[in-house]
Amino acid sequence: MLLKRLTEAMGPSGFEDEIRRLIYEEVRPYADRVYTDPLGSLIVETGESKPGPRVMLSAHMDEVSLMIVHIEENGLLKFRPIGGVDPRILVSKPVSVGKQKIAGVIGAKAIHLQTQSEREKPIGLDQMYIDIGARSKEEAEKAVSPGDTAVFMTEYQEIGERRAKGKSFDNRVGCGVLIETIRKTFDIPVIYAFTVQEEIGLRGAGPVAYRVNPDMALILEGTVCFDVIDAPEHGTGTVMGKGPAISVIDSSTIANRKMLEHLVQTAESAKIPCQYRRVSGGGNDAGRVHLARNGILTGAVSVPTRYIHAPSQMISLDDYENTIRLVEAFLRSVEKGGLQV
Amino acid sequence: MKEWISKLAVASGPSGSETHVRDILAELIQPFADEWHVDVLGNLIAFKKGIANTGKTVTLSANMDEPGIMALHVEANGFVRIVPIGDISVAGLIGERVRFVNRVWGVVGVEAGKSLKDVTFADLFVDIGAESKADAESLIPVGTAGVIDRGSFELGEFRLAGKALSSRVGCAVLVDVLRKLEAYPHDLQIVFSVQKEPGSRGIKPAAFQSEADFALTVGSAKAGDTPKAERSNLVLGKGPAIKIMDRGIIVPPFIKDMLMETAEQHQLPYQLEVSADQASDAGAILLSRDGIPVGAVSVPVRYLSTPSQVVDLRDVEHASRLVLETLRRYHTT
Repeated sequence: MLLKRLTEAMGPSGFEDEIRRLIYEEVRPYADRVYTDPLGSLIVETGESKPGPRVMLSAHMDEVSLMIVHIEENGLLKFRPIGGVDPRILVSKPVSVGKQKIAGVIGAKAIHLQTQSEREKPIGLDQMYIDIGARSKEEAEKAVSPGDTAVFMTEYQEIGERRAKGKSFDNRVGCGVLIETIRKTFDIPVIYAFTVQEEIGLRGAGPVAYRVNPDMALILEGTVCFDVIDAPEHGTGTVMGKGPAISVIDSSTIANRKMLEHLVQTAESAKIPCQYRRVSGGGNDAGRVHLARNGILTGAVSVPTRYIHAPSQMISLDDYENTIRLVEAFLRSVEKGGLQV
Repeated sequence: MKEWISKLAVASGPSGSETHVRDILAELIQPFADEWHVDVLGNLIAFKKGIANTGKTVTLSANMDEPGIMALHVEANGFVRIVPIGDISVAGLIGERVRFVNRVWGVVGVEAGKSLKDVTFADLFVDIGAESKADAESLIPVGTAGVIDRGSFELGEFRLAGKALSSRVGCAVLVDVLRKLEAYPHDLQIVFSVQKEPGSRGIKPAAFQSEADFALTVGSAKAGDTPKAERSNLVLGKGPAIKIMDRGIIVPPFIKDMLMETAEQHQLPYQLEVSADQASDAGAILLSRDGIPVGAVSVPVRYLSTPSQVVDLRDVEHASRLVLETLRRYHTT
């Protein structure tokens, strides 16, 4: 199952080797040309000989994760987050460390030993460590080095009614949408970009957009979804099950009206449910792509993702499939000349 | 120039939705430009062909956007929830009249029981007079931007008060320079940029396209001449400020010197701007492509992040002359 393989693969920002290899194997049969850029983004060209406009679909393949920064005398590993990780969600989570995928667990002081004031405060990064079962620094050093990364060890699982839990739906859902789309044939050049280092400041996407220089771009993402307890209607961001979320404004981009309206109309005429992403916080690769070179007509569509950036995230498979349908409908509309730059 | 400034200031142009102010500018520059176009981001870019085939391009830029609000959600009862665009004060919005870019009016309310210092944008809503969700959604589609609506008026003998003056005085200076500049040896490019407020976004692709050999940005700087103002040496009426640095740029010294020498040669009053907490489009121009030599002239503005900004028209006139004379000086160097 594609989403299972994608989410269970390792891809910390800057260390995307494993996820890139997996994606490469998936897209290779459909590509005219596949290559990586100097930063490690994977660029897949299709239909370059066809008449334009050239459309770039882009999804980042990296995930929030941890980096080992120090090995203690007793063999415990100190770490720091790569990307936006809330330290309060880390304690007692199982993780995979390094390319060898050494099993570890994030430890902290037991509740029995905590003072009253300690119990009232969240456990900070400095009070946590990764325990890989090593008895000493020497033993730990045989398995791990500073600079190794760690990701959450979460199995993909389909649960409830058409929902799935797993790690890194942000942004393996975007990668999945691109892979499902490349299997289809379009009468325009479509370039599929799997970017690196989004989680540490949209670093990979700018050089990709500069290189590819498409006429238009669509960014695929997993995005915040807080349709749960205590959230006012205007504070949910997105609602799970209501379809792909179209970006209006975030910290990196004010949506291009033409693209925004075209995406909504495309969804409406194809009878695909969709919603607006109704929160202004957070950003994605669109922030870099739309400012590349002379400026690029760019839009962003996201799969609502509950518990984003946490070890166990949740999506609706209907939202995922409707996002795939919307992307196809979008490309068909561009094929027919429905969106001009 | 006073008339254009007022007209431009009243025009609506929240970042990302600059159509209204852009249309006015396009009309103003049309008689003096050889050609103009609007790029993908919405930047208005005008050209005046040089007469000497020097192969050089000089770019003048001013941003045309202003901070504002955007509708992101409509509630069951027809109230519209908003988010900020750029630097706009939450508390300052309460009770304000706002106007969306589709000309719909609204009044900003705040949820009861919130103390003013704890109010966030999530507590605000806009009352557009709708009686239902459907009614409101048809008036204000999600993503519609708006601004606080304020007219402008003369304040004392030389001053003008109004909204968005911090960007529109720069636009007015560019129009004035374009009108007054006779045949010029180099190719001249005038950029009215979008989306400066959320972080100098529009100017990035505009600067990339310009491939300029030399650029000047005209904008504004916070005046420090009001009671207990934050420390700043800028005073209204003492002339335009030549930028030394701001948060995004240290102006190449030879450009700062050229501006100062020009001002002295033509006996134009000027001040020096060192802004630790402000940014301008100049920083993004400087770092475009392989680096573009850029300088900046700023008009001192009081009450910068409010809908009632104050400028001195003599400073604007002098800014225009300083830019014009600097352009003339550049072609001889």
